[in-house]
Amino acid sequence: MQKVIYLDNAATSWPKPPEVARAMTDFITNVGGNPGRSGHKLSVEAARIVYGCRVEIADLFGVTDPARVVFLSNATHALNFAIRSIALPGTRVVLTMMEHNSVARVLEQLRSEGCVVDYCPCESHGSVIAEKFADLLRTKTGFVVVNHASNVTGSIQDIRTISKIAHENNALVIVDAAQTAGIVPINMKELGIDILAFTGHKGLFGPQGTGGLVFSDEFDVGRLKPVFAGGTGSRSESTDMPDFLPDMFETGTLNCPGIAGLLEGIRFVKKNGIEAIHKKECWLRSMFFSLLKGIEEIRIFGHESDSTGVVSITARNIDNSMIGSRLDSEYGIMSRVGLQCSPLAHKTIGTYPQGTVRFSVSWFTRAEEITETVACLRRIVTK
Amino acid sequence: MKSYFIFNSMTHVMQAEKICSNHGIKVTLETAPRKISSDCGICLTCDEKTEKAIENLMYESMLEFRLQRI
Repeated sequence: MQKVIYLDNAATSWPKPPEVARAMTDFITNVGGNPGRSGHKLSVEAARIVYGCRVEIADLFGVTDPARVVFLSNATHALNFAIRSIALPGTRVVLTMMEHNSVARVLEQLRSEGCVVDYCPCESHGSVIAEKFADLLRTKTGFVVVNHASNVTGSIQDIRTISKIAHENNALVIVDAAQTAGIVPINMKELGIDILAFTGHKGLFGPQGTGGLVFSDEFDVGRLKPVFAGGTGSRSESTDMPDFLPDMFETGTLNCPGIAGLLEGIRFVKKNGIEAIHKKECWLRSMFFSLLKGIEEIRIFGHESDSTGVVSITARNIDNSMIGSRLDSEYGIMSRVGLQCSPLAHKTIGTYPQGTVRFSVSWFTRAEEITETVACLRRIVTK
Repeated sequence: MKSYFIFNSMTHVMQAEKICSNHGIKVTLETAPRKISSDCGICLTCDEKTEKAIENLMYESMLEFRLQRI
């Protein structure tokens, strides 16, 4: 197999810690039960694993009650769920011009169903313009949705300030933490987040098909109208959905092998420390930035500080897709080319519709992989 | 006579089990008998001697439960 330099961790992290695959294999091989559906040993053991993962996630985000963690398939499903559960015809929603389509498309659909949707402009490097946000919030707003960090530039939003403004105007705060969970420390109470959507397969090193929602300890879930209905393993005598967490939002059989893997991914993150992970990503990104600055043909987007390990570029004389394709086929370097499902962000940073070539690091990325990638980029764009 | 603690969901059963374990109280998880619950889940059981201690822990933890003795 050709050598691989994997720099597409913002799409999904790879490699995973070996214990993730081991836990998944062990679940399928030795556990296999369906939690909450039976009283036998294997069902109970499955429930212990799922509960263990809830506990770790609640702790990760500074929430005391593990039942406030709801497992869904990924961040997109989680955002759909949160937004559709709370938006009613006439509800006004403010989102930022850095949102992913997992938010923008949902809200554009809801606009056609009577929601009022307004976009908050951002700086060209991706940060929300706080004054503009405050101006928008002067009009009655039901909730705001904010991407914690951009999947295009890596820019981290000042959630504390955004939440403060939103709450002063009685608007709820939904945060899309797809790019930050496991990478940037998040305490929902300290940051003022009401609902957080996370994915398991990026910074948390879990498998694809894991993710969910976390509700802050203070948030009244009675304000939400569940989108899904079905079997929960509880209150089975009734055809109405249970009114308690997590069952009121968690229907059908969970992705237990995935959750078993996610549990080990989170333990790995905690063992290394989120601060240390973020520091390493920042260091790699800073190195990437410095080396790229020596290549005249390349333009870099985003700013150097307050970011995750994402670097987006374009080159003056060569198409993005050609760069991505040559990096892959000639050098075994994996990047992501195009709009990264975030047309709004590209409009903000001035790269719409061609997009960028995006590189994204993880805890497992080595410094020499960055230097080699930059050397290959130099060869591609200067010939 | 056996004491049965019945909770809303499996998540709460797990929570209760962990709380008891953290306090050194041994409990057993069993399929909830049909006559005390129609849920498809399980419940936490103990003998009469530990019932009160568990009950107090559940109140302290603000976990909703029903207690039945059979």
